[in-house]
Amino acid sequence: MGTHSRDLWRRAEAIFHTAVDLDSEQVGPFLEQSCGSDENLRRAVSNLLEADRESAEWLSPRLVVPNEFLADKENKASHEEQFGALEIVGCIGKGGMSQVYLANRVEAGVSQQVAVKVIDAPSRPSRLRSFHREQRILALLEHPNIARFLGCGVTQQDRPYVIMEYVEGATLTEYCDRRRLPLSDRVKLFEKVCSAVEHAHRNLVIHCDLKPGNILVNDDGEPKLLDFGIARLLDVATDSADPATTATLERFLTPAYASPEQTAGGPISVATDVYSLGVILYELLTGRLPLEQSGSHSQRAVLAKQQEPEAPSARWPSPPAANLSSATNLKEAAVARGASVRKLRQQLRGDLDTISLACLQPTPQHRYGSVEELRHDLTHFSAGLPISARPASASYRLGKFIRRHLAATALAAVAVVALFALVVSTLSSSRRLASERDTAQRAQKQAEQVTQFLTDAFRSADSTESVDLGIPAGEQATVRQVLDYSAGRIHQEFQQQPLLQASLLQTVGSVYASLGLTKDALPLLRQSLSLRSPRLPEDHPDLATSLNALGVALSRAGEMAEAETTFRQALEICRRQPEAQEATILSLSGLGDLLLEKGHYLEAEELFREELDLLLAMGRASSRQVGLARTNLGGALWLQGDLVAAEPVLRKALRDLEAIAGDQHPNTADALHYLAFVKAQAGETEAAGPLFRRALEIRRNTQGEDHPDTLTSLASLGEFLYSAGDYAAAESILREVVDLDRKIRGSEHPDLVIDLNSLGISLLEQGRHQEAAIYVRQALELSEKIWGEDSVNVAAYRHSLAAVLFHGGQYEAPETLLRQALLLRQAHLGVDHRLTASTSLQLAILLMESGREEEALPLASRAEQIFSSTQSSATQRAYASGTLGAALAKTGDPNQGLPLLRSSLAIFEQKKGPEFRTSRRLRRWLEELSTSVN
Amino acid sequence: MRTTPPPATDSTSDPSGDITQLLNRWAGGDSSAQDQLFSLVYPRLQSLASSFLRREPHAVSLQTTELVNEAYLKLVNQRPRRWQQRSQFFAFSATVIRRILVDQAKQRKRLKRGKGQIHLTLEEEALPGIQRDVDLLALDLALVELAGVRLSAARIVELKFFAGLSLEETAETLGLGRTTVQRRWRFARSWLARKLR
Repeated sequence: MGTHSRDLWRRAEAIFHTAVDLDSEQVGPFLEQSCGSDENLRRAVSNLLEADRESAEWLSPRLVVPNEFLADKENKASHEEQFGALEIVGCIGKGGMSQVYLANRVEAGVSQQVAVKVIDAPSRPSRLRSFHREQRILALLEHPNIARFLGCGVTQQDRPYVIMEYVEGATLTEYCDRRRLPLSDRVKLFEKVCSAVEHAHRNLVIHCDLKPGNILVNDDGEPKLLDFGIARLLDVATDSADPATTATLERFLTPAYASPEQTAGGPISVATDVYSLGVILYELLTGRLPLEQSGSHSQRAVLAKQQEPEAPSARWPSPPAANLSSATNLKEAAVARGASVRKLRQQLRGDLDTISLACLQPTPQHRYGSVEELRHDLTHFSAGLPISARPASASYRLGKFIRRHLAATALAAVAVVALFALVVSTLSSSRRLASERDTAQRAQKQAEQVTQFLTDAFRSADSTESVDLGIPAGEQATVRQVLDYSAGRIHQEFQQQPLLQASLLQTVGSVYASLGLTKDALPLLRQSLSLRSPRLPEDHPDLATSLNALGVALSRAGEMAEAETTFRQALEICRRQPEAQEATILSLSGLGDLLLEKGHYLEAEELFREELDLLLAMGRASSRQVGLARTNLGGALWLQGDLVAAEPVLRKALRDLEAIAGDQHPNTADALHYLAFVKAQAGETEAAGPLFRRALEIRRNTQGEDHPDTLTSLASLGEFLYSAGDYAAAESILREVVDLDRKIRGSEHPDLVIDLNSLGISLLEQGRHQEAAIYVRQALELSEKIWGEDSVNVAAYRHSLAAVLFHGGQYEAPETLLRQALLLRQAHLGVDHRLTASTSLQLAILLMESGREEEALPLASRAEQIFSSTQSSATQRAYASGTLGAALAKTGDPNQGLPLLRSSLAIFEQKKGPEFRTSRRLRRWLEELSTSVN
Repeated sequence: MRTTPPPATDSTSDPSGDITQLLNRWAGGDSSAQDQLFSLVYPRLQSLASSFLRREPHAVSLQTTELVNEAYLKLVNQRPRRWQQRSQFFAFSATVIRRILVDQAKQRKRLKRGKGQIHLTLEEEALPGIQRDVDLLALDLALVELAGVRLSAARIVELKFFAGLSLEETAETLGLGRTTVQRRWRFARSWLARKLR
């Protein structure tokens, strides 16, 4: 396959990934945008998309056809029914109208437990088309709190059945009572239930049969809703005109939770589910149902239609009002809620009473208009709790070369930039609010408020007069002071306009974050998000923006896992909102940086390519952002060991950034830095040195001596000096780096791992094994703590400690460490990766020194092969070929082996001197062999 | 330096030790190990498949994964079984199964032409997870080409389609993220479908 075609397909792949998730009408414009005039590319993507549509099931393993069905012996007839590809394990439930079976569904070799619900009503062939349409909708319903709908069909005996994810857990009420959950936890759990229902509603699926028995809670406290959309599905599949069927379907309803309009056979709507949710909430709060369940079906229906129930707090009467027996029941119920009757009454009175009753209104129009509104009120109620802002660690930064917009020295300029951004973003968002609510006057007022707010802030920043910053007049306010002041005022002055407040908080929070003040940034950004999320639709671009801002701050604070989740959420929203291009770019680059850091280079590469494609499609070819995206892409390629691909990308990035950002910009330093790495890796020491030094100088000038990035540059210079053989110089720089790490980044920072290791290795090179072992062991232990034992990142430190111990004269421990490292690297990086080769080589050397040449031979041979086919340093190649030569010679092939050994020794003596450790080893091997041959 | 060689590892008597060592060598990129592994694993997988069929003539629930699992237990009977090793074996078996199936397809083709008499040890029914409407020979060739575009995409197909691994297992075996595997799988499938159409 030619490079051209390969590149074409790789580009097509990137576009395909995005296009495949778009709605059909969005695909055309998207292709237009991303392929431009490249007809070949467009055709390639279109072909892929077409193939994707036609081959959804293709190559996917088929389900296994079962030969034995029901364990339930009495129901022999069902044995003959076809369940498609399921193996029925047993009957787990029988209702008036259905049986539920537990079954194994085997897919891709993984056996998954599923629940199969078979309905006792004949299906109606003429309705099958709508049946299928309905099932497609259900199959799309994906939410962590909804049991997945997996499929449905009709048995040979004409009974409709539904396959669902099998959920184990207690019913909602059981769970709450058994764990004696207090009201606040019950409300929180219920909010999750609401968000699931909300999600379904947004996908036009109404449950129609919500009840505690359909909501199971697993041991982790996650609720799962069962049977979503089943009522409707059955309604479609069966013949509701048939009286027997109607009776069956009626039995399907659970009267206690059904809304009045449902029992009366009226039209079903979102309000139907709201009512059922109200009953569930009521029961959770009081342990009883809102309407006393006496009388017949129809009597209850009449009752529900006429009256609103007693308020929940009234269900916890003070002792005189309750008779003795019910007082005992009350106490029990109160104990299950971890509180006294009196306390419960107090807690319920007010908001929770109001919320419950608003769900239980007899007339649908009087209830909450949507589950979202219900949940919104509940969130408000819960918000009395303090927002749990995690204390930020002393460290900030992680995305090593995350976008930096601000230089620490140019603080005054920052203030102007930030506040300008504030004006723009708030004004535009108030315009948007205006259109949403159609209250232009209000927007006008908001705009005035913002302007006033900004004028004040500016004045303070100018400090010709000091407003109420508490700064003596004439003294210059720092950005920090302006921001603190702004944050305080936002809290005070915009409480009545939560969305406006949210966007102001986001802006100020982002400025804090970009100044490295993550401790101040995070609470503001979290608050901004929590103000927005209950008020905006789940897919709203502003939510993506909020999430992105939070993600950036989190990654700067070193909270990698949470940052990743946050960016992924943002990206998910962006994928559904193709017009939110700016947000998409931020999500892609933010997530890409994180993945790079985490060692998921392939996925990072993909994200950066997507970012780059998108930027180019947006006509931003000569923007700093394109330069950044290229820098990161180059970095991802370099980290995958693809030096050949990385270099041109980085050169282009460097050229662009020098032209756009200037040669004294931190971003230019980023590109220089990666390029220096590539050069160093390729063994071009002469070229690499000046690049490292230039990068460091730029950082010192623009970011200051104590900035984390300057520190990273310093560390890289130390490592470079090490690789160039100046170990003493490397050691002293690295000691400085380790101290600074602990000071600036804290004691559990990934960079500290790297730097401890480098320091150890530079000691090793000076023959100071014991000191070296101390630092490298610290690095390994810390790495396991940070990434976990099975992470590929840990392999490096296992390898490293092995090398140190081996040079200190040990064999067993290092062999184990190296084998572990090798497995990790093979599994994660592949067998052809230069790092895998490096561990193979180390292991081969150890085996050689242990007299196990036979075992060493294949490892050395492989390492040599990889080093000579990838770009690697001359010494690395020489060491591999020397080891291979020795192994060949010792295993009976001196003719081939000895020349290799000799030439590699010559290289080492020339490059590193005859007394260098490796030179001595190679010479010793050669001498041993010569004597044994003679 | 140590001069006395340590006791030689026992490699001839115990086939599981053999496999382990070969696997290590194979993963280390030693191609001679690959041939030896093939000669050990290939017949084993084949005979396992047919013994399954003999034991339960109507059992059609045999899946490639079970096959590989059983082979793994028999061949690499070693404790502790670290996941890396299992991944390695699965990764290798995927290649073997691909080879077995492709060989079978070739044999069938030859049989159809009436040449030679070949005893089919691995019935295609033994691998019901594999769809029969797939032209394995064409797929095999297309996969080689796909590997040139995106090596990981081709590996994903091998693991998912031929070895029947789940998404998670594939991700683990290749050291890729779950989403990446999912997205790349979709791309690979479309790419191959387009090619084979």
